[in-house]
Amino acid sequence: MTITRILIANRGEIAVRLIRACHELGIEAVAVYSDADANALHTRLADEAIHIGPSTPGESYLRGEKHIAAARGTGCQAIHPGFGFLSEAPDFARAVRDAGLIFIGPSAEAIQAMGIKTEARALMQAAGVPVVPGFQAADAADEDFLHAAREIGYPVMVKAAGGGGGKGIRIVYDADSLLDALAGARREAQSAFGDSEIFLEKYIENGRHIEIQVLADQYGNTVHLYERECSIQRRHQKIIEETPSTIVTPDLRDRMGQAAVDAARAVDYVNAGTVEFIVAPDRTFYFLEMNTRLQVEHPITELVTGIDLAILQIRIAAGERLPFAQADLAQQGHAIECRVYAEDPANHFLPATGPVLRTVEPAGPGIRVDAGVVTGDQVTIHYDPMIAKVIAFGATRADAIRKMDWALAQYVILGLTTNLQFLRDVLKHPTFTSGNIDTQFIDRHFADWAEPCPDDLPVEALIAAAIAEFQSLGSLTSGGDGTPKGDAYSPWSRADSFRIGGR
Amino acid sequence: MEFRYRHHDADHAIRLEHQPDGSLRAYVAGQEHSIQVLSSPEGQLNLLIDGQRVHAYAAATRTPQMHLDLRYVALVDRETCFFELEKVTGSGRQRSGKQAASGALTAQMPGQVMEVAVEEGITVNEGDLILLLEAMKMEIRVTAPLSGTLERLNVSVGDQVERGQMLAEIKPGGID
Repeated sequence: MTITRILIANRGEIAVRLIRACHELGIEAVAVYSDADANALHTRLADEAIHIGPSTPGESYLRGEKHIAAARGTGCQAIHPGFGFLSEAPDFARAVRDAGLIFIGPSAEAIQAMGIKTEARALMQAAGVPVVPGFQAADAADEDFLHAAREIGYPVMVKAAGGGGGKGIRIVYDADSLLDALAGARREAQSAFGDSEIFLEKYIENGRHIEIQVLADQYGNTVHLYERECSIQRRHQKIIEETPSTIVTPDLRDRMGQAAVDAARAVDYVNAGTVEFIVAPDRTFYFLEMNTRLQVEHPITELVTGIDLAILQIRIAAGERLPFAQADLAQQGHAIECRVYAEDPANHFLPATGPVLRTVEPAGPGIRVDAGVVTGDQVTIHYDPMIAKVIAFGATRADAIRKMDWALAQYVILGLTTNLQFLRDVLKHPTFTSGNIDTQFIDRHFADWAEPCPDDLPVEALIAAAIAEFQSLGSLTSGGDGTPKGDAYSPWSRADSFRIGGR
Repeated sequence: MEFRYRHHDADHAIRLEHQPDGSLRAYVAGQEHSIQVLSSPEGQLNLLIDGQRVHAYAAATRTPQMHLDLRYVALVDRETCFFELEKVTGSGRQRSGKQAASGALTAQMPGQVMEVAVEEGITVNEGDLILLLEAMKMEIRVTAPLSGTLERLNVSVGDQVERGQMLAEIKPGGID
């Protein structure tokens, strides 16, 4: 089937990325939007935009039937699910297929096989991929867990079988705490995933979260595109990712890459996916889970390999063969990604919302910004706090860090609080620059982070505010409610119309 | 022209005066500053303040629920710093800061009220759940900071609130 139109079943930064990929290929992109996203960047960039419901994800972006109806109604041959939302929902992949559309991703069966974490572990063991020592058994009694934990050796992690993305994980350091942890985990798992089944894994202390990008076409060609180091996390949410990893040697890279390819083949994987591993300080590695979709941090892989993953996803879905074999691939330079979150690190990292009154993105050699918001957008409470990604690419790790610091210092986002300052502080930390990081890095060093900018208001800031105020009053046409509407200031109270269908 | 802004619970006053030569003079806390506006395209301010180049961005908004007049300023340099100011006018309502009474419950983050566990008039103990606030898939429990009577409940399920918005007020008091 020739693909001429793709429906992007997502929003924000990834929808923008995918729309651009479509346009590069001369393919038209159809966006979907909820009430809150009527004027969002992705809505405006698409060739056509379909309104799919109220702002709550459950009534819009999580409604598979609405995506499918929008795709059919606008003549799309394919749907790209992005990441999050329905990208790893096997029922959605199945429904897309049953509707006669192409799902840009793996099969529903592959998604399902890797979706239940306990099943994925079992599959991996059968495929010879090393898994974290653990224990799982349907309807296991607490005594069984206690016995298993003793065998595995504390500390252990109690995890939800039906979960993922860091939810429902508890670390248990001794037998006394295990029973409570089991009960609590079952409760959380039931409420978050509707499935109370839990399992145990050995907790690898000072481990690193390192994942391998895989790519496979519909003809059985499967390759890996090296690793991504994702240990800089807070509450299991990634903040900074980089490649190559400072701990991965060429030999380890080959072995992990092969393990990832084996994992993908075990489920007849097609398209882009990521196999996550935990790497212990002694460089032994274990399978954690597989993400059957394009990942947030895919840009760093793109920069060191020179390969556009989003475009390849579309090509693979259209039936093309992979244009390269493993031997053709090479990794060059160093890439780092920082996730810009709409949150206030000085307020316990709680969400921050607001109008995006002005953004000025950094631009320069080796700087890439994948943003979901530009001037005029609105960040609301309804969606993920990630609003942009800044990626820096340099010849060496030190170069990349320097460029990233420059880029973050130049990025202006006015109208809401973000973690830009926090990111800069993390990059400056000597442990980060040494590369000796692990998943506990943020908790260990940044638990009580405070804003480095002066608490006192510098007179320059006060003067700038006053001058802008002064200018806005000067070129004044007063709004009905008396608010000045000048050049420098424009209060956020626009009532823009939104497009319905067509341009 | 005189303006007043609040920043981190401190009020700042500034007076601007046009000079005959086209420059500006600012008076802040007894100090005088000479200012030239080199250019000001699209929310950008390229200034000369006392002979030093200052590059800034400024933007304004009025918040939807509390109607606060907020001003955002970014000073762009080697270290970009962001400031959120609240314009102080005679009639404007100010964001509840540290001056709020001890029994006042304000929203620690923006969010939507998912559940309200109390009614006006009931007795609450310190730590009792008052309501659940949710934003960006994160849920926080708003609990009573002290024991007393729930005098006023300002929100109901489904309401969207801003950070700092008054959610409820508890009149401190002993339990009978």
